Amino acid sequence: MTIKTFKLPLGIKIILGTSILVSLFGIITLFLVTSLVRNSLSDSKRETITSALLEQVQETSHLLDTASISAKLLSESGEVITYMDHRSPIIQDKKILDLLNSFGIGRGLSAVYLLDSKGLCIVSTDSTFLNNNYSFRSYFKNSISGRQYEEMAIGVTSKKAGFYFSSPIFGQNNSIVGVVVTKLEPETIYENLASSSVNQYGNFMLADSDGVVIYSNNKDYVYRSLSRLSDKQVQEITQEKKFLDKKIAVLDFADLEKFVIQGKTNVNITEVYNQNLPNQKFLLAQKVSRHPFYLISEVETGNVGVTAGRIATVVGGMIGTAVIATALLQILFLRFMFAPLTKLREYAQKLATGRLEERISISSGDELESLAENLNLMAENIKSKYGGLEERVVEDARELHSTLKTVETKNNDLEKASKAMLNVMSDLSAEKDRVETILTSIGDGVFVTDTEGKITMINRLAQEMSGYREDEALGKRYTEIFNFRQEKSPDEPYPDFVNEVIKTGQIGAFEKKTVIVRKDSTIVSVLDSVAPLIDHDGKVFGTVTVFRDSTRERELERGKDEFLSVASHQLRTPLGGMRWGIESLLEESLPKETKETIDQLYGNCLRMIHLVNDLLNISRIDQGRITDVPVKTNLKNIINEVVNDLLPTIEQMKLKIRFDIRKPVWLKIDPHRFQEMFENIASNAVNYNVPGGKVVISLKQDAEKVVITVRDTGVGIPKKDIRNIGTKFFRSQNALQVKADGTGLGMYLVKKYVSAWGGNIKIESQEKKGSTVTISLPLAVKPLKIYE
Amino acid sequence: MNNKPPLILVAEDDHFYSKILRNKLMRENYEVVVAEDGQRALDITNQQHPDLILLDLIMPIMNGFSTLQNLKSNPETEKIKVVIISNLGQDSDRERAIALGAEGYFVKSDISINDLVKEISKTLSPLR
Repeated sequence: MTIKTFKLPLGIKIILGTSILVSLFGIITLFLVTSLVRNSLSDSKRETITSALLEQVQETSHLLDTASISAKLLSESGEVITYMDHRSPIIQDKKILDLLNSFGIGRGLSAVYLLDSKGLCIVSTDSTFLNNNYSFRSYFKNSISGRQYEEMAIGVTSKKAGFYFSSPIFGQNNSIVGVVVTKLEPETIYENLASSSVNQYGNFMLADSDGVVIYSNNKDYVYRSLSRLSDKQVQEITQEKKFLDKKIAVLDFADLEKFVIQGKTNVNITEVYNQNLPNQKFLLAQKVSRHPFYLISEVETGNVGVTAGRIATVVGGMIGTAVIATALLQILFLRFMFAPLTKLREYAQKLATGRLEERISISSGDELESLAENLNLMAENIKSKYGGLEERVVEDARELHSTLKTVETKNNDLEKASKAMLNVMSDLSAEKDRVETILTSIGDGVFVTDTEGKITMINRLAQEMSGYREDEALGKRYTEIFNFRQEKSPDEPYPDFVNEVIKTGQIGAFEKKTVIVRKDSTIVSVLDSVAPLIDHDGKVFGTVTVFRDSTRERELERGKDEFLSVASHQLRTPLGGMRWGIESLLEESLPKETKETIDQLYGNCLRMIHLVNDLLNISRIDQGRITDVPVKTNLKNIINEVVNDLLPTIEQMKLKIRFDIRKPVWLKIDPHRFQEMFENIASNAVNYNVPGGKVVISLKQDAEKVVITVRDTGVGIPKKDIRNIGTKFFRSQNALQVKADGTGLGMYLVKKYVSAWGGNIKIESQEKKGSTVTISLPLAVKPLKIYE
Repeated sequence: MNNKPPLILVAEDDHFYSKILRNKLMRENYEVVVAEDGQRALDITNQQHPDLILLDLIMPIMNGFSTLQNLKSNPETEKIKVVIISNLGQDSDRERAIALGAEGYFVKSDISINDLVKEISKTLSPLR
């Protein structure tokens, strides 16, 4: 972009604007000037004319004054009054005549005369008037009525125009006795008028009160009327003024009636424009003061117009020149003005493109200079503050870009993860629904607690069995909802098994014969277990308890219980009877064969009893009806007792028993059950031994467990049978041979007990060499809750 | 010392058992009287003041537990030694009997009659 392109539009605007303004102004001025000029010209002309007219008026008035004053004076003269009062008829008093003459001669009066009350001229300086009757004259008519009067009239005798001035003479008794009249030859007036400067302006007239032109520098105007007169008026005037052969024609002036009327009321100047004439005319009229005559100047304005036009042309020319000059000056000025602006613009461009080092200098001594300085300062500031900003920004942008890329990638990953999450969640949700359905349909009551034992989940059955609804149960401690009690001792508080499970992290089971006392106080027997909920880190975060209405089972068990009791009793009774019966028989002296038979009978009987006992025991074990009252038990004592009970067989077989027991071992365990278990092991060691054999019993305890070992030198167990030892009713072949009446239930019981206690059993054996049974029990023996 | 042989009351509803016991005990020089139910046992006890009562648990009219309870709550009979002979083998029965004050509890089919007699003798004269 060049400078020109920038500069001219703005410049042109300015120039055009100014030019238009100036032109407008000029044109307005022109018109104003023109009209002003015209007006002033008119005015000045008017003024000039007016003043000339006024001057003339004075002169004319003055001239006329003489005559009128003379008349008045004379009328008031005593002599005249006396004369008129007492005169003798037709005698012309010389004295009076002299008096009249004295007035007349000095003053240019062509005649001074007296009229009597009838209008007869009785004294006159002009003898031709004597004895004429002038009662027809207006001046007589007016004066005899008491008024002073002036008029122009045509003389009867002279037949020439003349000015007549009359004044009434008042007699002694105030009646009018006569009239004094003075006559002025009009030449005086006319000459005076002819010499007036008013003549130069145009037609100049003297008119009377009727509007008839008496004198004019334009002969055509004489005896013309300045107003539109009616015929009657014309007739009168003609008669009065005796313009005998002169016709009175109206002058072609518009609205002069107004003038005439106004003239009579003493308005000084009237302007009349005759619009019909090409050159505008105007009239200036002035009443001759104190006299009923009017001086009128008719002026043509043509000159004025021409002059005005000339002036306008000149002025117009001047204005035009001014406009052009202004425009040219402006162009120059603007060029000068715009230079710094251009500089500024260029500078701003540089700054905008980041060239902050540039500076500008303008020395125009005005706002532009200060602007330039400020721009420089600004550039300086920006440079110091933001220099190098661009590089930093670019760097930042790069970093940002790479960050954005990373974010994008992460975002994508996130999206994928989120999608995966959603899938998982929907799966979870489906799973959750499944679980819920399962839990709802499950035949057991289930409730889940947190680590404080507060219920976080409770299924439908649990709600029914507790008697509380889900909304009542959630969030409450389980003990508030499930009123567990021991059936046998309902007043005792039930142990906090949830808490126990949370602490130990071990699965637990209900006490036997647990019941729930429902909300409505009905009782339901329940049976079941609590398990800890363990998270990935092995931390317990809650528990789940499953239980069911065991009323039927309880009944069944009660039935079984009863059965057992009854069965045991019913079976044992005849057996017991048989035993004692046979024993009694054996005390008799019997023949040898009889005794042998009865011995065998006795043996069978004992076997039967043994079997029944075992069966009943096993039944009890199978049903978990074993009572288990763990107490701190001295195992050594029990072992000793068991061995004692086996002494008969031991002595019979001449077995050697060795104890490897260093110190007493105490274990919290039910002594009866431990005895039962050990009995079985020990009796096997004894019964399946060889005569003169050995049994070694050892009892050891370390930090974690107790180990009981029974080693025998018996017949051993064939390798293939070792794993079957402990199976219900199993007896290996070689054992059968040794002791036909074994039940095969002993080891079953041992295994059941040991595993229930949380221990383990190891059986090592070699056929014909012997067997070793090793039982290890944890120090914290688990309660015996055995289920098949 | 009294040479009169100790009187043993056998409270047992089974004839066979009571007969064998009676015979055995008499052979061992005990005086024996038999009751077939708990009520009868109480009556005989009040009348004859046995030194020891062999008490079965399953009896008509009044079972062994009630009888035992009765005996032990009666100041006149509480000192009489009671040995339970029963075929109820459960620990709970044994414990219950002991808790009620029985001096012994034996399962008939699990003990020989000779051993039983030994136990009776031990119970009657613990110092020996």
